[in-house]
Amino acid sequence: MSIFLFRRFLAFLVAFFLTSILIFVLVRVIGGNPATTLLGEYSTPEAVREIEIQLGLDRPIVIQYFEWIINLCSGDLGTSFRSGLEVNYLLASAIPVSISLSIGALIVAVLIGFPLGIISAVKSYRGSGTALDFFSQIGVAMPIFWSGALLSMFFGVRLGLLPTGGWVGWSENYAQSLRHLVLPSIALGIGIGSVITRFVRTAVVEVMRQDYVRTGRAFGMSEYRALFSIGLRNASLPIVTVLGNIVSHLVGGTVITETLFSMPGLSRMILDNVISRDILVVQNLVMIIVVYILIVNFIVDISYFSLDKRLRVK
Amino acid sequence: MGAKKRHIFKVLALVISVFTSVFWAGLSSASSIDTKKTSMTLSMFQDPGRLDVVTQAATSLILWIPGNVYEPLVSFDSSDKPSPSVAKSWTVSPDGKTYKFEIDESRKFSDGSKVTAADVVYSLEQFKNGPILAYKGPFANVSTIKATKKNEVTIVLTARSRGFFRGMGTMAGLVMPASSEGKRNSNPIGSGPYKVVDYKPGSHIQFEYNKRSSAKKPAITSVKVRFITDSPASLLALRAGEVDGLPITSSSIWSRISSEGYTKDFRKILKPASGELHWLMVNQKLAPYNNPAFGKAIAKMINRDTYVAGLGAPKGAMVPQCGWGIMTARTFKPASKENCEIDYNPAQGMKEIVAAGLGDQVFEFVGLTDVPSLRLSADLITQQLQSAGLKVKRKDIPLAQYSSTIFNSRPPAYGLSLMGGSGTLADFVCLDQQKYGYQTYCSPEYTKLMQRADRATSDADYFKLISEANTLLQKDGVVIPLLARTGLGLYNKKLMGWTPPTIRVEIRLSDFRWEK
Amino acid sequence: MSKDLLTVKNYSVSSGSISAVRQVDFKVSENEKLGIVGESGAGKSMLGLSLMGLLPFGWESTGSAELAGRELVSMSEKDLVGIRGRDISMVFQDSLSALNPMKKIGKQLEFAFKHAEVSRSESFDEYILTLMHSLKIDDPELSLQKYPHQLSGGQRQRILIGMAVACNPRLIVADEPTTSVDSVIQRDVLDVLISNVSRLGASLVLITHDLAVVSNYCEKIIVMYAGKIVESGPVVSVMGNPKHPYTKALIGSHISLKHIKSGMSKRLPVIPGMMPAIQAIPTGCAFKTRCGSATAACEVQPPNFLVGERTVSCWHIEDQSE
Repeated sequence: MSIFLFRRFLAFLVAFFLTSILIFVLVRVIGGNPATTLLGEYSTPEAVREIEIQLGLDRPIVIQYFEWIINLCSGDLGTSFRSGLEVNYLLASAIPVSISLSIGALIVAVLIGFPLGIISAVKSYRGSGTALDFFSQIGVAMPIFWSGALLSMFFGVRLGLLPTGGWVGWSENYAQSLRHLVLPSIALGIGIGSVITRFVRTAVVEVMRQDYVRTGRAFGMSEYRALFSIGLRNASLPIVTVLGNIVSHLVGGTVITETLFSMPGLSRMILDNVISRDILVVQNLVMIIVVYILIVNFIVDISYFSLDKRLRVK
Repeated sequence: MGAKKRHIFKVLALVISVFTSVFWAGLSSASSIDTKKTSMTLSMFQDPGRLDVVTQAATSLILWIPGNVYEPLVSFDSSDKPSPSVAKSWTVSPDGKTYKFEIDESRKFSDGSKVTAADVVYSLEQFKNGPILAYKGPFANVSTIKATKKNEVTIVLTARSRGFFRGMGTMAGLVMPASSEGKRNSNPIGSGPYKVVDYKPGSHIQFEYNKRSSAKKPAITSVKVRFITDSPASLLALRAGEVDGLPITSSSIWSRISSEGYTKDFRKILKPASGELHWLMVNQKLAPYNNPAFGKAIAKMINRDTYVAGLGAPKGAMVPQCGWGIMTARTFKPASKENCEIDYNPAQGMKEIVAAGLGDQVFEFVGLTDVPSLRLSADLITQQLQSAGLKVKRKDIPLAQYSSTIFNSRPPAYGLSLMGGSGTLADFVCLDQQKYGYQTYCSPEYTKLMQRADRATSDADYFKLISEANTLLQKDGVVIPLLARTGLGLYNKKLMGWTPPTIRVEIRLSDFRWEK
Repeated sequence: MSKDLLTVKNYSVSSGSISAVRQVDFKVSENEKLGIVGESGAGKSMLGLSLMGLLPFGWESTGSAELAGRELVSMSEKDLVGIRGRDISMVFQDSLSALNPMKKIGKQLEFAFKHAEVSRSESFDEYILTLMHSLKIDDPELSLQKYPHQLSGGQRQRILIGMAVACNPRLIVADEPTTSVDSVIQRDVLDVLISNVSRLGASLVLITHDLAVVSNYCEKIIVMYAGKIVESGPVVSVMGNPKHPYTKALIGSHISLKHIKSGMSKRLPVIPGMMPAIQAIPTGCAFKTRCGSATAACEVQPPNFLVGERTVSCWHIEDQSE
């Protein structure tokens, strides 16, 4: 176990440094800098220069990189040049929004994905299973900006049931927060739910084909009981392995969802800062997401390891 | 018989009086203010990120903060007449070089502190030494700003300057307490009718009536400005009634606004030109673009009407524009036969290009990729130039790169480029090449004209000189004005009271009201 | 003569036009141990699964199979769930894949034991432990806490046997119970199976390709070829004096295989050719293509000729003696 953990951790570190270099370079390739964007077209060269010095953008690139990594590791995310506020402070309000959206979308995705995946697995040899499979394909391919717009057009404009966008903090009014969360969660959750449907279907079909399911049935277990007590549990293993996949889907999707529904979350914050070329903040925020994905994958590896007892012997 | 007649008159009079009273009642109720509705929600496409007017010049900020949270030293009405504001009176020395402003001590900031002469000095110094060039302009001739009494600020100029006094009614003249230093990004404090009670980056700004303000209590005391960056989403929010108005709609949804009946279902407001221009910029330091024939020939190849139509804006949101220097509505005139000195004549333009020996030359035209309104514009311009027979190669760069190139390279790399924004005549003044203006153009003749205009003693003189400078700019083929964005706002039909901006492009929240 | 427990008549297992088992007839009496032998693909396993009602999707059985008077072929899934484990149960071949890798042995046994008739003097746990002893599993308490992969193949197979006998079924179908087990302990496993079957007084259908196993443990034998029963009858007579050419060849190759193992012969007299795939079974006698004595008569499917106590499906039975 400890060797396994050590090796995974090493892989984690390597991935961390490689992505950090990639992000560092990419952010600089975009071009532009916050000074010119912030001050507008009519700012003085002196002011621009002053800001560049203030941000350390005048220093050698290698030094800039190491300074960044050291600050990042010590939890100092710096000050957003765009807003003049500390990034940590901004994150404190942005992260709960993104997490709420992610959890909401995951709940929707699981509520859609598991039942449909199971039904489609059980009916996999029948027409209804094929139809479900077809719809899950559509769900995967359906762009969020399209499904999201349809949702707000119908539930927001036509029926007037739910807000078309915006956000109310949990501490202010949690009923309102929930109302604001419904449509974006569904918009984001449909796609992920479809992905889950497909994974659950494959995994359950695969498990239900196993001999031990037949063994269970040979001793008086009904087909449905076998499905729920053996099929789902054992299918959870392959599903856990795609959790990383699902999380990257989530992260990618929240950028669009947060923009579409005007939610002040992490992704929106990144987008705003990319537009204003606040590169120091952008690289920090992107790195936070990278670390988040790496940690999720790390946890997935460990949980896979602990779920599958066979791995430990091998 | 006579009695009967009288009777009929009586009835008639009664009928008429009842009818008129009902009619008047109907009329008055139709235009009466809904006093119960004291809040509104407006939407904005961009989050300014920070609310400090000294360091941030984004339209998304200027729309909300200057006219509502702050008050200028002097205020100018739409006919450019000055009236008291933070300064309740002022005197000017006969040579026009010394201004004494008497500060209205009864005014209070939203934090409760009194507005003092020291605060005014502090504020003016902020803009004078701040990073935004446009706000420094009015202080070009200012030598000292001093609080000479507790309630008196004396400003000494090196030369008479119209720009200075006019500037005290714009951004450069906004007054803020010295104690707000370092806090303006999230908590701007001013003496205006509103105060910011909550600013959630990426989400909204919440304004409430500032009880300490000396302004009249507005009909709408609570205003939420929501940031909805996705344009279709903002239209949905308007349809759903979550938002009562979209002050300036992004040009990317113009076609939707027209086709989906928004201009029918909502009140459409086209604001008068307030400095939002599109123009072509010709580099005067880069061959062969600096050939005087080039700019003039190009101007003949652009059909402004076709260009405006091509952008798909609702009628009136944009107008063809020949003139320049339209910072105030007063000097703004849409393009017409009379004021357009250059006729649309692409064949003649191409002839001039060939005559100048540039017939085989391939020109580079630079458009900006990340400003959607300018991207379509660049397509339209390229099309027009190419159909005139000019060899044009399109080059797209992001705005950030464009501005950084302008600042860093001398001369700039681009020969012909499309610009958008609040270009002003002052931008082309080059007192000091290092510091001012577009590096693409520096004409001593032009600079002298503009300085003379600044020192003009009468309005007539001033406008005559400005007009001369404008002509010179076009004669030199430096700028080719294309259009003026008159702006577009969509509002709930019951939300009334929009007024034209006076400080810059601000929206005065205190003028709005709900009708019953 | 004891009572018939299972009576199979004109019984086929097919999917569309493909048949794995073709019109078979046989009986299993109470307390009887029947061995079914044949090459891989002869339809033995499908026969076993079909009796349990556990055919893969798309396959179905036709004809008649009565277990203690109840018809299995037309039985609903709900009724099947009721009889599985209690009236008829099965020992599967690959013990590693037949056990749920993610559940502890104890948990898996528990389910199989749910319907066990535990006498009042004994607790449920005691019953399991007693059974574990009868399965000859050392350290039963510890084994119950283990996962399948932590046990040896022999132990796992015994667990499967334990599950099969847990609820005192009347008929146990054992499908190649020793293939996944080391040859050294095959005998132990079979001993455990047989002793438990005897203890319960159940009947056994032992599916295997090992003739020696059948001759050691069973009273009756069925030889299957390409989905058909080619010869059946008492083990002693069939093994001692095979009538069908295929049975003869099978016994011949089996003996020679034994000899190779013991180093007595280096020659490998295998049956020439291959058993036809179920998609391509020829008309008439399916064995004719490999049979030395095939004639034109073999183009017609031979009926089951009764020779003493046995049936033989061949046109060329020269010797009519027992």
